[in-house]
Amino acid sequence: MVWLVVGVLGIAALLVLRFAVEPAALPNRLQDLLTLSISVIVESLPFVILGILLSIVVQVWLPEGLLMRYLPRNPVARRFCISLFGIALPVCECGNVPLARGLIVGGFTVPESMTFLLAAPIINPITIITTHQAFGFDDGILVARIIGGLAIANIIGWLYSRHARPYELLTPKFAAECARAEGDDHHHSRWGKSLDIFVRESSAIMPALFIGALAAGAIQVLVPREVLVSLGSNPLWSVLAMMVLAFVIAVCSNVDAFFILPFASTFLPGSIVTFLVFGPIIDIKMLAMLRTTFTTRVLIQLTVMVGLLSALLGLVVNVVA
Amino acid sequence: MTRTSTDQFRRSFAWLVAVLLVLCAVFVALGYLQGPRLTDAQVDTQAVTSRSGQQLRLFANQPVAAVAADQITVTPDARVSVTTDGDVIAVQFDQPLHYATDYVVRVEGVHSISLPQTSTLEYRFTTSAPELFWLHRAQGADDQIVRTGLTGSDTTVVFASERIVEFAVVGRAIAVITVDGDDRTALQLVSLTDGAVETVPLPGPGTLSDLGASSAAFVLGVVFTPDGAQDEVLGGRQLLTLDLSAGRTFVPVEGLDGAPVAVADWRFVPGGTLLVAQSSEQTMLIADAAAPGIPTPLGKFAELVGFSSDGRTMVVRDVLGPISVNLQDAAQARIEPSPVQGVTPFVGQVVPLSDGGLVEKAAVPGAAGAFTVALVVDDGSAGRVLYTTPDGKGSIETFSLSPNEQFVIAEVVPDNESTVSDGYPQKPRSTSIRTVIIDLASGEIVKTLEGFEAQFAG
Repeated sequence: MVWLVVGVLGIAALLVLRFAVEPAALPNRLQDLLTLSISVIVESLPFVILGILLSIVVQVWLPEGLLMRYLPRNPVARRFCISLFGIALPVCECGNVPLARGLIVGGFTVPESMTFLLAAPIINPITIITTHQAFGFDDGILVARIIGGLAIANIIGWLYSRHARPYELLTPKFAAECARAEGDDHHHSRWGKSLDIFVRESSAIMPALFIGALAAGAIQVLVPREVLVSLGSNPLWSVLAMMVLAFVIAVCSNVDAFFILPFASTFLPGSIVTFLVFGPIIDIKMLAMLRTTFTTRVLIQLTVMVGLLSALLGLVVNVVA
Repeated sequence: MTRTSTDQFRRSFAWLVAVLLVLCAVFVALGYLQGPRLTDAQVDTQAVTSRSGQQLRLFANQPVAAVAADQITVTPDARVSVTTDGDVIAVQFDQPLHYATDYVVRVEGVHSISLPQTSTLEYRFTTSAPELFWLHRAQGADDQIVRTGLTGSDTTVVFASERIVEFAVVGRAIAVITVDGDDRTALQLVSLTDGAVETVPLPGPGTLSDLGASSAAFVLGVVFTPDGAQDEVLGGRQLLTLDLSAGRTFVPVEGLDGAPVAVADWRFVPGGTLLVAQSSEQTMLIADAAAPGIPTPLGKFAELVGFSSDGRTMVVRDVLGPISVNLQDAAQARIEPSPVQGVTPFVGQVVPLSDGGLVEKAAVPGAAGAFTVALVVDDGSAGRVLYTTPDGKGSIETFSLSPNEQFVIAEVVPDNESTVSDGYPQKPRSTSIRTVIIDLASGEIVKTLEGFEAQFAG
């Protein structure tokens, strides 16, 4: 609860600072920092709240085991079906974090939840529509994004399914919450549980969003964009530059296609695909939010694996597209 | 068991990382060995045959280094210039291309801005076939505006009326001046899409003549002679423009004094909305139908002859003969026709070509020492007879060029002795008038039409 108040107060303070203080009174870089940070927060906040609400629906309001009942028993097919959940959920990556946490609490395994978490922001309908509006079917960018996102999510889901103790992948605090939820089912009314989950998830997610947005804004202010753009036509450096850009910019997957569209004439198409696949899964804001759920070791592994898979996807597109 | 399983995850992770690193290395190497590739191309296959300066835009899969014109080959040959911007190579055709022709554009030695590997980009396209419209004045039946293609014999009547004076193709419509039983003229718009006919209200009682249409905008020009203005200069002939995209309001072209100008003749400059009008004092005035205002004078000349297809050169005439006027800088040069079979011809109508040559209607030496009227292609050093009427019995009334200068459109009367006028109050023509479409390069007659006012569209 304390963190929720801190998060809300932090956002409010940023907004007050941005709009109440005379812009000219602030140094340019600080103005840029505030604008960029607030834009990330404003862009993400509705989806975070929507994600928490969907998480509550999954944990509290859906009949127990409903989702499980219709999923295949074969683990690979099951994870593939879970990776398609995002098609019905117009929520970007920020909103999927609480929802993925809800899935774990609701009985999904950690790899299954992870598969959903990685695929959903890429194959959600708004992301697909905006990517199509931005690129159409040019250079196979849209197709590569969808197929690549699903492939990466399922490969990583498969990888972590080989882990013997998946609960060790979670932070001790979240693991404890999961354990508590298992034994605490009948102590509250549904509304009470919903409120409890909302407060708990908000407390966990909001500060992470707040800190992640500030970090994304700070890095954008400090790292000249020209440095990244100058690398655009090199097969390798363009891909790496786009991964760095995606990590730094931390733009929401629902609108990232429009953000990157102006770069399409100077960067290779594969590097654009890398940006569109890597960014929704791994960026500075997402790492801050994922840290509420997964251990640092897992986040490093995830970053390496998603980075390699995204880079490979981009390099392949560069050669064949 | 647990340790074994955890090791299994670590091994899987390590193997996966190793495999991905190898695959990445392979594709990085392939990327470095590969030059730019063509991912898309855009060209308007219709506009490219009717206007110069049209572009073929080649989209590479990566930003490319600047391409020079000598890296580009076009088959069949066409003059091009080129600009490069990021991943787009814009090949600009300096002249309109031929109709219904397969073109191959190759750009050699293309490389990215960061790597030296080169590649050749190649794109093939086929230009569109034109539509031909002409006026057929039937004897004892309605007159017809007919549409056909350059090849084949299929024809479609797009408009028929009791008496049609003239018409002009404007966008996907035709504007037609008709005459009723009382010799009153009317302006009608006929949609080429659905055949709908609209009568345009005139600015007052009067007569329409000298209809023209911009080739680049939905704009008409027409001379309107108000009733009862016979005592005014040139009978009160006002040049009016009508922007069909903006409504149905006629706008008079102004003279140097800001008042509507009385015109002896006028034409649209090909490729835009500029027009040249000859005032009652024989001053040539250039005005913009899209931006009415005080026109610019170009000098006094006896006759407005015509324009080059690219709209850069105007041909006028004074008492000594034809003169070309460069419309960019108003520079004038007297046209000296080259000899035909060693004899300098007497020239009438002259149309300049964009390559500097001329097409002339000229009197050239005939078989028995007599002179015959012929169409002559003048390359600047010698004239080549392109067309004469059969047996030299007929006459060439007038001629024009297709917008891409591929064809000459000549109105001919096959036999002067048997010709009979159709007796129309305006633009009377011989009842036997024909239009022949002649290939400028080969002199081959590709089509003959029973009528006149043939116009290329598309």
